[in-house]
Amino acid sequence: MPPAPAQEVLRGTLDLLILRTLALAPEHGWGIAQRIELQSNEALQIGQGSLYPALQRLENKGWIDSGWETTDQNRRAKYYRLTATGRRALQAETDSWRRYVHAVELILTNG
Amino acid sequence: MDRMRGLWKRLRAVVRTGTAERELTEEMAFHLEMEVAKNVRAGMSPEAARRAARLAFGGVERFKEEVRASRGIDWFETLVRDVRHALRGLARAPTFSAVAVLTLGLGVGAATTIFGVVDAVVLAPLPYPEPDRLVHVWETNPEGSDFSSSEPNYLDFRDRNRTLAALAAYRRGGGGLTLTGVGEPRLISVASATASLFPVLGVDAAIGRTFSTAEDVRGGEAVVLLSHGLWRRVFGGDTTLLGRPITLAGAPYTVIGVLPASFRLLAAEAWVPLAPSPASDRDDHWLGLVGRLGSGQSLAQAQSDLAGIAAANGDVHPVTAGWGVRVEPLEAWAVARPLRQSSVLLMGAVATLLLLACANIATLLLARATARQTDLRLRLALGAGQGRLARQQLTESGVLAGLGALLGLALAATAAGLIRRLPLAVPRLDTVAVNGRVVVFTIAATIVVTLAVGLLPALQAAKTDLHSALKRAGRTGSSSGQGRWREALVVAQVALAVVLLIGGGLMIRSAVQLEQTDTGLATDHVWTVPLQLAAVPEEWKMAQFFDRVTERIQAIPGVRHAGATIVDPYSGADLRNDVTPEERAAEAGAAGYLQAAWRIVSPGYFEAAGVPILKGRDFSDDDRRDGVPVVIVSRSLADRLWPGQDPLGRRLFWGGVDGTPRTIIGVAGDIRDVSIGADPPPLMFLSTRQIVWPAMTLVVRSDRPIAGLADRIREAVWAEDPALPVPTIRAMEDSRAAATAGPRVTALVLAAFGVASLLLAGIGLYGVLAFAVVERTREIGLRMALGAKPGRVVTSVVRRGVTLAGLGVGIGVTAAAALTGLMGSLLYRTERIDPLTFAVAPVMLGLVALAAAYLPARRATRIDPMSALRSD
Repeated sequence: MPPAPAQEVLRGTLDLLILRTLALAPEHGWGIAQRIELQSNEALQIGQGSLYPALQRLENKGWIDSGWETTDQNRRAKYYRLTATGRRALQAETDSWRRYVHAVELILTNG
Repeated sequence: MDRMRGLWKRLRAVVRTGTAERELTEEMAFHLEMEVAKNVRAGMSPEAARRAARLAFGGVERFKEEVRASRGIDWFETLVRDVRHALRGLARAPTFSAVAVLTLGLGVGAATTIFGVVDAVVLAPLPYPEPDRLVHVWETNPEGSDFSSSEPNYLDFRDRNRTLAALAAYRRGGGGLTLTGVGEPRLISVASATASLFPVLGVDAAIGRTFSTAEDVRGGEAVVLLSHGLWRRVFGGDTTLLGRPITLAGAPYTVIGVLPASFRLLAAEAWVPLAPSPASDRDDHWLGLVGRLGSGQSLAQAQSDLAGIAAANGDVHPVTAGWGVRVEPLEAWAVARPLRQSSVLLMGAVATLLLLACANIATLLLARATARQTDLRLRLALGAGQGRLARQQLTESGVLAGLGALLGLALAATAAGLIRRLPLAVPRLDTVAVNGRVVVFTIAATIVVTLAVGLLPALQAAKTDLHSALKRAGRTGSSSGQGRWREALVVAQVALAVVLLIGGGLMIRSAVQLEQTDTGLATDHVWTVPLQLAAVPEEWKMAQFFDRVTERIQAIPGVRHAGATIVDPYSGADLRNDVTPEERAAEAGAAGYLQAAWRIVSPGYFEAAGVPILKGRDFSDDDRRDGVPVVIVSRSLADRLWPGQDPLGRRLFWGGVDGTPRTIIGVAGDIRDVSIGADPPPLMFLSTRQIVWPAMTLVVRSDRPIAGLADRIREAVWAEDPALPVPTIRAMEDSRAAATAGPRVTALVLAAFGVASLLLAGIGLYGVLAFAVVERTREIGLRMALGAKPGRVVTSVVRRGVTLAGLGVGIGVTAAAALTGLMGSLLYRTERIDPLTFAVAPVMLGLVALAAAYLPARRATRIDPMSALRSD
């Protein structure tokens, strides 16, 4: 466990982070969590309680797809990958997130 | 595409919950394992690593639950939740629920029962391979009536046709043959068939084999095929019976096979070879013909092919001049037209009744939805979508319909058991059962019921909008639109009820007409005893046997008359032949002048059967075999042969015109001993003193009921021939009732539907008016406070009810007048627009409507103005 105080990911942004992670390569659930933690310099921590339901949700939307494959250590794991719809959704979600952040930033700096 | 896949996975998850759960567990285990490995790499001991991983993971079950929730089986869960909600709601209103389930249950039960009967009797395919390639061939006489074929004609059709793969012939058994040697002697029905009949139908013996062509010739070996039923019942399913002889009518027949249980042609218990002969009389029409169409041949082609052969035959053989053929599907022959028509009628009636029940429950549900507006509004305010509300409403109807269907299926299964045992002469009635097809029908009916019952309330729920709903908060009033829907439903119910009542009324009138028809035969204290001699002895012995038995019976104290006839009345048996007046023999030629029914009767028959001799004399013992051949004609035959002239002393030819003509010694009253619903046929009587037959039916008449008469008659029979099977003794009344049982049962069922519909319509009307009174409590209270008289209040409510009922009656009568045209051929001596029926049905409905309107009206007058105004 990292000693630094890690932040739980905001609910709405988790989907975006998962999609972004899977845009690089297919990954299993644990790997997704690790990547997000790593890439955020361990500032963000993904609770399993929100990760797997989110994956399920995204799969239901048809944005990601899953299948059982073998890992490097020859272990069976469920891999998730981005679908074409998911790729388009990632683009839209990213844009909307940027607009949101920009708007919040404007208020924080000017207000 | 991706979305579709997502949906598919979700569906799979719902259907295969097990797989999804296993995958989830495995995925979690993998996650934990990876976490432990990471911790170990970070320098923890394996045990600490595992503990840390578990801690990080959190509650396993809670986690699983969350994943399950997002697995997204929304619709399914919603359905389960809606069903639960509906069940809770229904449990809270037990009376309403019980009435609704019972009403729908009875409706669905009636519909399922009727469908089950129609399915078994009319719709089920014949138990032969490719039944649609099978045809039945009739000959048609010059007047166009259907006739059986004769042996020489059959052989010509068989050998000269180019359209049939094969043509087979069968012959009904008539009175049956006596089986002796196994237990008591018994009369069994024996039919005969050509060897080709079984291959044509595609039926093979269940055990042994069917006839060979070598056996199907005159003088061939005497062999017999047993029906599965006879083999099981009489021979106990003994397989060693094959190759052994049994005794029929005193002669040995070798058993060569047992037919399958599904084979029920002619309901024959045994089959012997027919052995058709070209030397047989071409004018003896007693063969039924069954053919299988050749490949690529149509029924129409077979028709013209065989008609060509018949025409060619007519040129060569004068007796068949003018005769033709009619080829019909075997299916049409097996399921008679009146049966099909009754089936359509009953299905239509029961569908109407079910629809009416649905309208009735829909009205109740609408009223309920109005009463529950507060509940709906609350849910709407809490964020439930209008679609959700509609769906929930529909779910409730579905639950009601489903419960009703279960009840209906149970009722139908019980009814099927009773129907199978009904003593009706309807083929395949004993195969009625709640089978897969019937269940599919019930499911379809349930879906229709759900929609019919729930669509209106669902649409109403969907239209509930929060804004206006909140504005009217608190008051349980309904929009006027909803009230109009309820009233429209009531009008529909009344209209449907009128249609059913009129339909049932017409059938009852028709059945009563049939019942009251004078058949020309006495029924009070008249008994019939069909007798068949076991072995056919010399003619004089046969004559002596029947005379002596008749004498013995006449000696029983209380018996007034006894006689014998060749045709057991109302048994369906009939005998017909050409009849030609002597003076017309030249012009009529071999084809004969007209077809008439004929009976051989004993001198005592006319008195015993109550048939009057209108002119001339009865047969007597003085009519001798070697004397003048005599004949008594029915009034219709006399009118047809010699209109306006005295027939006594004239002579006619019976059959061919080359023999001795027979002298008319009397004219008897008309009788209908075959079909009660048909006009009395022209008929002639011959005397047992001049023609002898081995099977006769004794007719016995007394003035009063005689205790133990049946036993005494049996004693009299056995005193002459102890080897005879136990004679069946039937009251003429019962035979006659059995002959009209079909129309009577149809009429009773329709009448029951009519009464049920009347009740339902009455309840529907009452419900709507009662509800309207509750809705208008404030208004009525106000009017009464302002001095309105109770009488005026009553009038206003009753007027509303009568207006609705009147509208429904108007629509119903109009619809009935249009629809009864379809019943035309099922009605006997009853007008399609029978004034009595068309007057009584509306009056009955009017009375019910008045009663249904009066009760709520009286309640309206009891409204206390003060409390009414103070409420809400």
